[in-house]
Amino acid sequence: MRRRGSMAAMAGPATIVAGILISAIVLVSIFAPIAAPYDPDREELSSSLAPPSSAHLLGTDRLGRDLASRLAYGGRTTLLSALLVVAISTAVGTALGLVAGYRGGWVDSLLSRAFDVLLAFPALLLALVVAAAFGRGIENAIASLSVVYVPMITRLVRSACLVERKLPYVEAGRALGYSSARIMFRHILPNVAPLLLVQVAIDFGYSILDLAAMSFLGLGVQPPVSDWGAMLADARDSLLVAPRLALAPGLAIMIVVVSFNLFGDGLKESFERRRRR
Amino acid sequence: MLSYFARRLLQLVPALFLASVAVFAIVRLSPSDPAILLAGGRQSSPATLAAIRAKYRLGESLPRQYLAWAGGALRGDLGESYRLKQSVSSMIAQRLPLTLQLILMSMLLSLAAAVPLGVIAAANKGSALDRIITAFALAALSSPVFLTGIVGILVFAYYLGWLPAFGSGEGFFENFRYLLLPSAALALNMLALSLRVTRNGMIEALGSNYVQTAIAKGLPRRSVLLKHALRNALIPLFTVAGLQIGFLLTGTVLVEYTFGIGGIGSLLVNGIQSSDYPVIQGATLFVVAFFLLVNLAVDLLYAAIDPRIRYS
Repeated sequence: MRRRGSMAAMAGPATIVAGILISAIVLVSIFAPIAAPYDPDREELSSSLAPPSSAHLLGTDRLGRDLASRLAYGGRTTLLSALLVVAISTAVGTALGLVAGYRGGWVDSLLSRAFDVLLAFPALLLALVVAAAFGRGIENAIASLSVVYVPMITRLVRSACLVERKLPYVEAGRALGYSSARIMFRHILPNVAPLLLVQVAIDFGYSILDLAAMSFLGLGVQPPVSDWGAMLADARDSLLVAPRLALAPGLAIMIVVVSFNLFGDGLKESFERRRRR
Repeated sequence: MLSYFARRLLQLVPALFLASVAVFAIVRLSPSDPAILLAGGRQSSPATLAAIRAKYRLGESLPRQYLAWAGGALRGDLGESYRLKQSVSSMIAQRLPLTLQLILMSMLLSLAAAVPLGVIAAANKGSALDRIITAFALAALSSPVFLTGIVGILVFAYYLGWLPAFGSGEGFFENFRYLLLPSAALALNMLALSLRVTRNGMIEALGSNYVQTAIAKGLPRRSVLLKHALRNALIPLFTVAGLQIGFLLTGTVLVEYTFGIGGIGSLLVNGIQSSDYPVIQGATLFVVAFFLLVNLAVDLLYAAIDPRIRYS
């Protein structure tokens, strides 16, 4: 019996394909300035709505901007924003979840009650209202989505922490006189991390969807900056003439989100399999 | 049973209270001054601003403003829209039927697709068919609902010309045609969860002793699947109903905007886009209250079906 396979051997083919897709899209986004053939904002009205050609791989939009370049740069904005949402919400949510789960008592009940209220709002709806109050713009969209994602992470970490807290290694740490902070972050956190990682992968996909929705409604990025959601909203005006303008960013969103979902599921399966051994 | 009902109903009160505080606070924490917005955002004389502040009680302390607003809300008065100078409650009431119809149609369409597909996937577990169905549901879940909507408009309204692309008509039956595309887009989007639940429930039921016994007795496979297994597999669908409703409510906001349907969702989006605070507050509070009430109804129904819930 093989005791330890490589990560690739343990993950299914779907997970590997998803991983490759994610890497490819991330690479294109990082190297957008090199990869994109044109300046994404350069308007060239003489070639408005040009069909795909060798000069413009995916054609141009209403203002004559190169679609492929806009797609690359838009992906950059979308992925970076989603990364920020996930990073902020995971950091805050994990810290709160560890404290609530480890300390218990009034801290826990206060946090749980407060988050029950937040969870009573459908997530995107709450983010929309927050963004409405603080003004449109990508910073506010990121901030409000981060807030909305915190309770789910906290709930996950808290319940995992409640299980870990009763295990011997935590008691041992306490007997050795370690501080609570050390036990929480150095000892419990690594044991909760796999579960968290799965959630992060899946949340990444959802935050891309939610950010796209906010940009689609005009509450996310503001012109001239663009992301996939805003590109979709723009494309509605020329839907009949050039459906590719809507389909390209739409499919890009879909592919990324599917990939993150598959990747998260794959991670979960391989963690579970490892645990069972 | 009655005490369970009472307890759940009582829990609703603090939830609604806190939600209303949250809605009010979020909107009022806004850095922009409502009086200036009301004056049309232009340079206005101090006298005009003072008059506006007095009329909309903006000069009073925030707790007082909250009490006035929440008290009104309890009596069904959600204030007046800054932009349209109409009662927010009547705006909501006017638009509610359309949104309800959209929600109902989406729910039914999604169940009508998810349950049979889930049964087929479970009955052929591990086969190519199962994988295709699962992959399809994942793709539908991962595509923004406005993308599905736009593709739907393109294909069924523009290319085939079968259905109207935008807006709504008069009355339930005319709206049925208008809402078919939007609700199909929403239904596709929420298909994945119900499908997964049905599929897992069916797989579990098919492996259980009573189903194995029924098969061993030589009952036809069809009747075992549909009569014995499906009945139990459907119960878990209730547990995810609450999740689905949250999904649906945000979904309607996006779908109504995409298809230009004048329901609660587009009321909210228009309110947000024009900083119409009473509309934002009113519509959000309404949606959250609706969400909480439907969740409660689902829980109570679930408890009525499955007595184990009540005593835990």
